[in-house]
Amino acid sequence: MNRRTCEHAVERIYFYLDGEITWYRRMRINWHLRSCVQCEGAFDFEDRLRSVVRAKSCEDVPDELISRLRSILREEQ
Amino acid sequence: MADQARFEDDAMGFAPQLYAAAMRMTRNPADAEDLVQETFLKAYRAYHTFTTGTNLKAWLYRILTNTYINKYRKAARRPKEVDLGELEDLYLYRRVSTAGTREASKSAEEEVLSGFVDSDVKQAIEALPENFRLPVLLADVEGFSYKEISEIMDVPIGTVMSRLHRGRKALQKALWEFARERGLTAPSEETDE
Repeated sequence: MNRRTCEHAVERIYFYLDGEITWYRRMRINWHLRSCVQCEGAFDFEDRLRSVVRAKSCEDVPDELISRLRSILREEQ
Repeated sequence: MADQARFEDDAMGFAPQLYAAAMRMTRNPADAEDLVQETFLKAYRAYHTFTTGTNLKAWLYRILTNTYINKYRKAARRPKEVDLGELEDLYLYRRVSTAGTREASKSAEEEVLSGFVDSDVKQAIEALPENFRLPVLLADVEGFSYKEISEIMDVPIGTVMSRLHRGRKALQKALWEFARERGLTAPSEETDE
């Protein structure tokens, strides 16, 4: 557990989770996460949090809106 | 060049997602419905300019976002460019995780994460200032890449990244408030055990 390595990993956490990181950096972070429980915990938490945000922000689209969209498009034709 | 006759088949599947995004943008069902309706109409009329085989979802979101910004910024006269101040990294994790074994901490974390209800998450997103809300919505809910968000919002990629990172911290702060209100967290005891 090297402080600087941890800082580097945490600085890049979102690039890593967003898939916006080079293969080489991803491998280095993976390597670090295997040996650092704290960072592994943080990465895992952020990942789960994102799934929660995605799962809990859905909406039921009103059927009425869908049929209105269809009729608007038909009128346009 | 896309065939306008195919628009309904191609685009209608995105309507539920677009409606959910419109809800987070406008924060109310009536405006969200209007926004989606206007988006579909504009998209239909411009469909001949869409290149078949490119990213239809991103194209539709670009129209949605532009329509939202034009319509609601006009209503508000001037966009509020709010500064969120400095928030620390891993805002929520630092407050939710516990010392001790990873297993123990993980169960404390899970209690908080699974304790959030839909309205907590929705309100936390909707509470973000617009310039932060849009990138967070597009990345974390819709799963767009930085480059796609930069094209959808028409802002440089560096701006997307910094707003996204700051917006996420603010989102976590709002979620933390909900967790505390709902008593999902252990009272912070600084005692050493």
